[in-house]
Amino acid sequence: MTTPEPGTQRLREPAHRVSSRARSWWALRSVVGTVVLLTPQIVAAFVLPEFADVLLVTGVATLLVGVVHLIVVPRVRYRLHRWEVTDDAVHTLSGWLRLEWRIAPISRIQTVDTDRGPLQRLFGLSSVTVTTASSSGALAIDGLDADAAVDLADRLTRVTETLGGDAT
Amino acid sequence: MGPDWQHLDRRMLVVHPVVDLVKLVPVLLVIAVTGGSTDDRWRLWGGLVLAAAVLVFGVSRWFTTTYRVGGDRVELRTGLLRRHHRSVHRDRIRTADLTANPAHRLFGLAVVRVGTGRREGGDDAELTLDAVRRDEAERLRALLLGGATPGDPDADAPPELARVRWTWVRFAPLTFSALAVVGAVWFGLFRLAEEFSLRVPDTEILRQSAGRAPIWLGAAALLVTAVVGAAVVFVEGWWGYRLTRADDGGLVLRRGLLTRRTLSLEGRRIRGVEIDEPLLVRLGRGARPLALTTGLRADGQGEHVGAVGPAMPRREAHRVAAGVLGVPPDEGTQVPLARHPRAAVLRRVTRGFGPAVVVAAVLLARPEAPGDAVVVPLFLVAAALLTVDRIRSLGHTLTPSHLVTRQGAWIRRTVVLRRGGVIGWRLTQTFTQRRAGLLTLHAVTAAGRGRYEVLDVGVDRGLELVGDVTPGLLDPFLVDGRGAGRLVRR
Repeated sequence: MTTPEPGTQRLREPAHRVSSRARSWWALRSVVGTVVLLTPQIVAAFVLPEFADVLLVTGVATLLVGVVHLIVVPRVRYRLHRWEVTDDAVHTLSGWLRLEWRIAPISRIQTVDTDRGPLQRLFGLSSVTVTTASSSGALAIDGLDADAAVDLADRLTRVTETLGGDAT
Repeated sequence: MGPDWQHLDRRMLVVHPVVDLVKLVPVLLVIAVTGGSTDDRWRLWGGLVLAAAVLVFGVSRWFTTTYRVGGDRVELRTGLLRRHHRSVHRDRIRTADLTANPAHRLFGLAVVRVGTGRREGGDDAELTLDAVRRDEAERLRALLLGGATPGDPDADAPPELARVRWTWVRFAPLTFSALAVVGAVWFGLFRLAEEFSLRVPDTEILRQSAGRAPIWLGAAALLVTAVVGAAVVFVEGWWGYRLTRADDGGLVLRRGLLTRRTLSLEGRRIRGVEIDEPLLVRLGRGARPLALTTGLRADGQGEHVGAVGPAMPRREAHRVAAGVLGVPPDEGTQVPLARHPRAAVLRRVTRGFGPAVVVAAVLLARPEAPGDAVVVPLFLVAAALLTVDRIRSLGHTLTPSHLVTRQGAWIRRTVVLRRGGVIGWRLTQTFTQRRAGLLTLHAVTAAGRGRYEVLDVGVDRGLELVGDVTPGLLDPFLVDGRGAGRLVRR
């Protein structure tokens, strides 16, 4: 890598993507969300036939938005959500219209959690959440391969223990 | 074996029951006043039994509450029917605050509140000794916080940072809490008036004449209550205000007329300071100093979290802030700030003035427009002034020990954050910021609001700030940007 001139520096993307199975997870989540929105409308259409016309329109609209969401969001998230652990810090990058790069120096990490929801488990996925002493929110890497997540959490926990000190 | 369990001060045998009884008075009054005349004996006995129960419970609290301060933990046992045991590790203790309400002060007592300064709850988050003798309370505070006692006068830094001046009362009506007071007072008055109008038929006359009273009378009444109310709140809250520096660089804050409060902030918990200038206070050339500390909650009085003084003259506030930081005044909140790029100025205009223009256009487009000839220009002028103010406020800089950032018009906030207090970063870039070559840098910290932003800095400058405060953190990611506005090259 060439060392760039100061003043024209930018960042390269963090090295790692999450598991490719995360796309399926996000897709399923999208479907579930659409179903949750659609079901009451269908039920209402049967119970209140006089509103069936209106409900048909909203139902079709919901379905359309749901399908677009299903096609677009998992891909975009997979393409944009990236992470990397360097010697000094954990980096995550996310966001589409609003890019967000979060940095947690390893010496400041307080807790490292892995978290597996029922849907994530279905695809053998897991999230890793890294918190610091700040109240302003944690770093999360969603949709990692379950084994990789455990390894990562172990590694971070070990490094954190040897360093100690969290600026509280 | 630790030391023996101790009871709270014996005088609490009196204080607890009496305070509880006083709290009971409204209930007893309601019992006495309400209802018909069927069975007054029931009412009398009911009231007496209730009072007796409260008395017994109040007395029992003294017998059931014990505490001890051991070598490595402070423990408190409470509860008559349901025993509760709480213990706090001494090396986790971050706060030891004393408060004394009028009842406590009458008997020379004080409440000691010991906290770990952690936000998340948990059983060991806080314990309260209500109450012990004043000197015992002071002893405990000094003991638990180690060196956090007021420094001796021979120390290098002057131990007293600030002391209340009564001319500061002029800022009280300009603060938001003044409005809250007015609201509360008027709400109370209306409620009272309603209560009485149910019983006193004469108020009908009063109401009719009030209906004819000119509107300026009402406005004047509001204004007077605001000023008087704010002054009263100021005097109660900040009577005897003294801010002193402790040996460890921490702070000891004493204040309060009726309820005395002593707040100790450990030096290692202080991450920086903030100067808040709400618009009205700023127009009065005032400002309010805050300390950025870890694990401080609002104290239930609607006080600004971390406030180390009331609204005071700007120069005084900057001096206090510098004292808290332990730097000369011109290296603290008054350090000259770097301007932001032209694109950041443009964004203030489009985001601040743009919506105002739209609103004005809508107002003018309405078919019936009474008084718009006055309202719209005034509105636009106000929006323009605010936008100019926002542009002037925007700034940041890096001193040898601190990151300084300022923004805002309604409330202008100047934040000085210790470099070592930065425990992470967030760099955000919206679509429009990308086109303008800007980003917003959030310095994450354990203190205060959790993160403080440097709004709309150039991408280069943002990366430079991260590199200066936390060297090497982003080095593995730096690549040649070829002058693009985009923060991340894909």
